[in-house]
Amino acid sequence: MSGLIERVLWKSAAGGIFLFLFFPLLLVVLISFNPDGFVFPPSGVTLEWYVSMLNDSALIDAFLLSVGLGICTALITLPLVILASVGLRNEGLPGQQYLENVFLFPLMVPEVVLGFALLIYFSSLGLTGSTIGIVFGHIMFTTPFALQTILAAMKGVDTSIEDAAHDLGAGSLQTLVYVTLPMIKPAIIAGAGYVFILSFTNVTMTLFLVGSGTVTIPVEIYQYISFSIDPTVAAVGAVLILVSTSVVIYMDRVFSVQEISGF
Amino acid sequence: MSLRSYAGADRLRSIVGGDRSSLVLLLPLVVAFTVLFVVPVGQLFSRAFVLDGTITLANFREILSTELYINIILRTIRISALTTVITMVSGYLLAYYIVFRSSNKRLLLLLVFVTMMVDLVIRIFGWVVAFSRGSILEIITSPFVDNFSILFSETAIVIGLVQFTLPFMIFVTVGVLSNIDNTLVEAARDLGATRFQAFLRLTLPLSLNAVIVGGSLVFALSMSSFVSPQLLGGGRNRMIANTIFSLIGNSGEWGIAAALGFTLLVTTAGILAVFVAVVTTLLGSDRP
Repeated sequence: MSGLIERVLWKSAAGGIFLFLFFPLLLVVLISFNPDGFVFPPSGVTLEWYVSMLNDSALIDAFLLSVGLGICTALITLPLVILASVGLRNEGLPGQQYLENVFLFPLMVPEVVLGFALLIYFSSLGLTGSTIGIVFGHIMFTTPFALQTILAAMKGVDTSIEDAAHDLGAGSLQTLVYVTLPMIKPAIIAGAGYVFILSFTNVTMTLFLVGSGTVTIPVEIYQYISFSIDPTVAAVGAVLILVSTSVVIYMDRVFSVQEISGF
Repeated sequence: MSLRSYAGADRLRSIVGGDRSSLVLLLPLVVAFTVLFVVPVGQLFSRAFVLDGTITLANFREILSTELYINIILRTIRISALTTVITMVSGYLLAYYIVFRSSNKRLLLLLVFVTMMVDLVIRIFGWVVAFSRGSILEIITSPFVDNFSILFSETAIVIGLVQFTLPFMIFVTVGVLSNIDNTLVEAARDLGATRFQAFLRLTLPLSLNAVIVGGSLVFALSMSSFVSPQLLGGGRNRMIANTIFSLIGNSGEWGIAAALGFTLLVTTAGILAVFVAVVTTLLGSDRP
């Protein structure tokens, strides 16, 4: 009997916390279909906010730019991190442990400080508001996350298999491409998804890097809701929730979530 | 003898040659890291210590002597501390449930990860709507509270921050709890400890790392938070990050803004050092 009560208590506590975590997301999805906008209960179901979203060229442009930036960032960050983790897993390297931690430093610096630092730096280089500047910022920001995921997988690789490839006559590059990388393929796919989402959703640091023609979707929404709240944002929100959820589910099919997060 | 010298030579070659190639592989990341992180952040912080071409602490003196800045720093600490306590307790609770009491750990972790990976701006937008007048939350709470409008208050900021930081706490704690050897707890139970005693004397001290690492992470994230206070707190409840942001518009204030950024980093590190020391003595003394 007391076991039953205990079980019910645990389930309701866990359910309550999950409800809290999902509450803002559910509300956004609900509003996106509500013909009365923010007024509850809804009098029906509508797609008018989605239509108004599709007619807003600033939102569409920002969305497409963010998708492109996310892909670019993943395509540059991952090779950098993969190469570095091949080097970093070698424990004979002097200061290896130290180096590993140094690369995690950007995680400790507040995003506002990172953004501000890049703003000043880029203005001296003439990169303010440029797409290249945003990509540079995102590479720096996503590297520590990707490094945690990929280095952990790289350290788990059985080096005797690579030695065997060497003995059979494969060169270093061949061994890396045909033996090592296929073994950590799940981590690479998950890392790519992780980097994409981090770039796609970053707002605080990106706020400092955007210019008039280079506004990303989170920054566009941020600026939008700073001035007025409009159910169109809920429609965009529902689409973004779908994008993030799909990428996460795809990552989870190849890799367990616990490993991606790197904790 | 010949075998041993061969092995020695091989090891020597792998150390010398291996290290050199390791360094070459690391080079691109080291360059990117230096150019995109070390130089810009170094430049920014050096600005905090320079005024009119001379090295000085004038910017910091101005921060410490201006009541407005002091209030903002204190508010940031207060909000972050409250967020950390709420997040640590509820995050630990949920992580414990996921690891020891649920039947589908993987699915639940996936759900937590989804909430963490959705655009923060969208989540905050959800809260803005929830806290506005005439919102669904006001309708639900109307029988109990007669004016539920907490938008632009510290409470709203804390709620937004707890939602933002909870997944981090949960992941850290799940990682630590999953590594605890369950046979220890079973042994304690066999020896007559109640479930709660076993938790208090065994599981909690063994998961001390989760409390320290998770709590520090949550606190640091809250201290530097920008979007939640900006959209949920309004103009009257600014935190440090928002103040830095609003100073940047005027390039004459960049020195103060840089000094505030540095102050943020140092204050966070200082409080965390005390937090780690306190938690370690409080819980660590009871370690089995």
